[in-house]
Amino acid sequence: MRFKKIIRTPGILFIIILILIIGSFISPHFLTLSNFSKILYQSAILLLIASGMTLVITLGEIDLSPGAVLSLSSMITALAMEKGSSVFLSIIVGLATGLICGVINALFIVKAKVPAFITTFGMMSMAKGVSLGLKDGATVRGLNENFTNTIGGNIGPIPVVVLISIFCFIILFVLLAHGKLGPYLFAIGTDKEAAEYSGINVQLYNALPFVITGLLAGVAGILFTARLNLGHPTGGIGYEFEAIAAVVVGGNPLEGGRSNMVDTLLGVFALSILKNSLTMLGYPIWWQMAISGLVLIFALLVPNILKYKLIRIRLGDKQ
Amino acid sequence: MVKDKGLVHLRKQNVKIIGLFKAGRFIFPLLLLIILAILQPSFLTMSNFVNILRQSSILFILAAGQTLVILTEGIDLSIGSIIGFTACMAGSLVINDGNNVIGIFLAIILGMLIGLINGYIISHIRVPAFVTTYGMQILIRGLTIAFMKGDVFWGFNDSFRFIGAGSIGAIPMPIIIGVLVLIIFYFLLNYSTFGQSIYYLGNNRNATKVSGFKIRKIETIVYAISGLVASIGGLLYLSRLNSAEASLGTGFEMDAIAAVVLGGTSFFGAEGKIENAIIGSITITLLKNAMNLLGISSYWQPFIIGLLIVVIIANERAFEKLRNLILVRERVN
Amino acid sequence: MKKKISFIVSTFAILGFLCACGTPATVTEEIPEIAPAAPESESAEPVEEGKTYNLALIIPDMVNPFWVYMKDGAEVVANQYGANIEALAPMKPYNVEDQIRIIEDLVQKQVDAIVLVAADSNGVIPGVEAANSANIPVVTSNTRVFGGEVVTFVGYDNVEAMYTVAKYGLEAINGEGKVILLEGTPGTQTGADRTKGMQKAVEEFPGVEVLASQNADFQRSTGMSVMENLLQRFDEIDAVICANDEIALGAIEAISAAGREGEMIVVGFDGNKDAYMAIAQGRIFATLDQNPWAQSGLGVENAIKYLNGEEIPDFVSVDYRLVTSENVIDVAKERFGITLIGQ
Repeated sequence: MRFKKIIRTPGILFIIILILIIGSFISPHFLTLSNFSKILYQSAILLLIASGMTLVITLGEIDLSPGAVLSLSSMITALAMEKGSSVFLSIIVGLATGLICGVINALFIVKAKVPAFITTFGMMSMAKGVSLGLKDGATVRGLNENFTNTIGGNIGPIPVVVLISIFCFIILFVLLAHGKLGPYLFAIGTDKEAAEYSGINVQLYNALPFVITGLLAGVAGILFTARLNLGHPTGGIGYEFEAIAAVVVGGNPLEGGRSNMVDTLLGVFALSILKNSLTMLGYPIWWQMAISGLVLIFALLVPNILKYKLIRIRLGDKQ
Repeated sequence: MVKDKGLVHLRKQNVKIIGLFKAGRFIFPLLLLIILAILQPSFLTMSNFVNILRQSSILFILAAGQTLVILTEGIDLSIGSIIGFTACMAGSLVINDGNNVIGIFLAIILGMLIGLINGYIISHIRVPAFVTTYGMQILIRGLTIAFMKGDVFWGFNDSFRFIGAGSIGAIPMPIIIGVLVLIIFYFLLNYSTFGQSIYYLGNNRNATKVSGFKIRKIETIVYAISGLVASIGGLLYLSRLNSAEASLGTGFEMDAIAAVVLGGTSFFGAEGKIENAIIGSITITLLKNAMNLLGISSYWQPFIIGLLIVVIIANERAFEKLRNLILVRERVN
Repeated sequence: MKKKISFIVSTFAILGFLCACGTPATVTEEIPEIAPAAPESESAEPVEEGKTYNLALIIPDMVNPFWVYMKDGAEVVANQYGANIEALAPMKPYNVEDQIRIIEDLVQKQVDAIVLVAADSNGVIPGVEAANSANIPVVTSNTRVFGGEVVTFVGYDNVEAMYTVAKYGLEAINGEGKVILLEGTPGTQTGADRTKGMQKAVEEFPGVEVLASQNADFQRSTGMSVMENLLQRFDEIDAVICANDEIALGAIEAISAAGREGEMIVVGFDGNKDAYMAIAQGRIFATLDQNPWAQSGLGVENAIKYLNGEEIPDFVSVDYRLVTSENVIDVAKERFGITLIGQ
């Protein structure tokens, strides 16, 4: 176990350190406190979705819907405010949107036994359709000022968006690391049948990650609305892939059975500083894309090569 | 999850009933056809059918490659970008040099090469397919934009346009190529050891390895084929669109995946046939065509597609449950 | 296995040879391309300053030729003034949140000024405010921003411009007939404004019936597939009004594939090179030349002037003009240095 841990973590840390070193060479403004607080602010939404996604990936599944659900929740929150409902009610409506989408996902997956990939693929399409159809593709303005000031504001020096995101992350971290949830999810992710025989309520624990991810997508939608100060029907599209990439790049195996929230945090952080440093570098968009793609692949490639080398050395190279 | 899909011997009279259940996914497109024929007279024209078949054949070609990948329990998210990249390369050669053959060859070889790289990283270095191909998707798209730098190659010569827009007799070229791909893939999957080994690989990786198959090689080739057919689909699309732009093919991977799973190929590997991809791609094209003919707003169209994907698969699962019930009863008797 | 692959490859190789037979045919003739015509604002003499300014141009996307023209224009003017310029765009095309992120990063980088082409007039406001609080001047170009403090707006009214070209198209069909509107990407300002402009023009003619108004994502491929389906659905179409030239170019491909050329007129917007060629060929009826080089070039120029302490007007107008078969040859020569030979 310890052996595994040692070779698992350096992959992502190596990349973070590399970006930090290169970044500090490019721009004197890179390694500053203000820049890092901005990076934190920018990665708040990704962190929310990636934390939920970590639970789903622990099961060995994938959720493709949070990006679209985020947009839907953003649209519905904004629409509620446009129609004149209070800030509190609008937030509740937005959260409920996310929760309902998550529950629908979970029901289809657990009760109707539709594979998670297909269910969430369908949900992605459905949520996208509804958020576009609600206002014929237009954005929603006219938000309540209290909303922008509270959710979009600061408490002390820290933006509320960051606080909410970190709060959710910590709850999930504690649940996964110290509650029953963690071991149960690990067990289901490793072997569903064995988990069922050992008395775990597989249906419930199979459903929970999807419900949580849906709810978190709802929260993310509200934060997104506050950040843009409007409801956006397509703004969240693509977040699901970024989140999956963050989780996996962080070192969590895509086939499930094992996961660590801290790895996810590192993955989110790595992707965010990568984006930030690329903008600082001022390279044209194509090089930025090419580098991002390469980093995604290499983040797992290098540690995997190292891992196999090490294992081979240990086993006396039988291959 | 139990991976072994053991063979069950059945009595003859029940095979028919089960066959009917299995036809569940045919029922939906048929239903759609009937409803449309009643609602929209312009639907029941020969030209519309040819149109649907032509549109679905390009989707089918992409879905065919994706089928192989999904059978090995993988996924290829990079095909949209491969289409864009190879099409732009071919486009530049055809426009600048007027050299169709080299352009087409280059596109196909590049597509296969990118697929090979995907496959090598996935099978030999064991980076998950999802991440590898997602990273490749961004990387290749970036290179395409770098290559094009906002240019658009437009207005190809007639012989190049023939591949995608022409027809032999009354049959459009994409349909002919689609059928060719179908035949090749059909024989590949059903009558070759390679095809068999794909199923074994998707079913049980370790057992396949133990029984002497070179699983890494198989997996690498599967991704190479996926890249290769993607570039062929891309060429057809390019020739029909008559212009190469850097954003070409964006999001095609999702359409292809939807077509594969809608056809009933299992996401957990080893279960599914190339025929499923035909059903899936025709269903999706039919659905889009129907929504357009009925005048459903393009904003609501994704909603309906998503809903139907989930409902069709849920329905199929219900059929499967019933089928299993019958099987169990059969065994008890 | 190797045999199988080589079999597949050779099958298609044979196919490729078959397809290669045939003679190339072109309607237009093109002389070698020269650099894009520089913006009209060139008259300003280079200003020698003690400090070179670091400017940034943010555009919504780098695939559509139009935005790339804007990038070129900005670079030309920045060079004239001896300023550094970097052009940035979101990795997800037209993504407002990414644009805000880029502005925030540029604020950290402490560039001297930002020339912004917003993906959404409202959505980008938080980014503009971030730049304001760091005292970095923001010049908006092409698309207005409805909040924050901007130095000036360089551009034109998208609603009015689309209205002009749409009206021209509708007048050509004598103000009556069946019309299709192909809109731009939902959730973008440009898209929303142009849809508004189309509708304004349509409302003016009571004889015009809108058969369908569909999203075509500002893309050629989407334009083609949407048009294909609409052609299937409607037997009679008199005009197709598109939110940009890319959509129009896709639509004409679908129309000629269906063999219905000449039955309807197609109207575009933007003025890109291919569209001019299509107009010369008589496949597109009209488009709008809106001089992207000047839009970004004047943006950069005004940003530099502002940094030098000069007075800047609130609104710098960039002219647009209709391009039809009558003036397309002149416009194409002026903008792209190409000679088009019509039909």
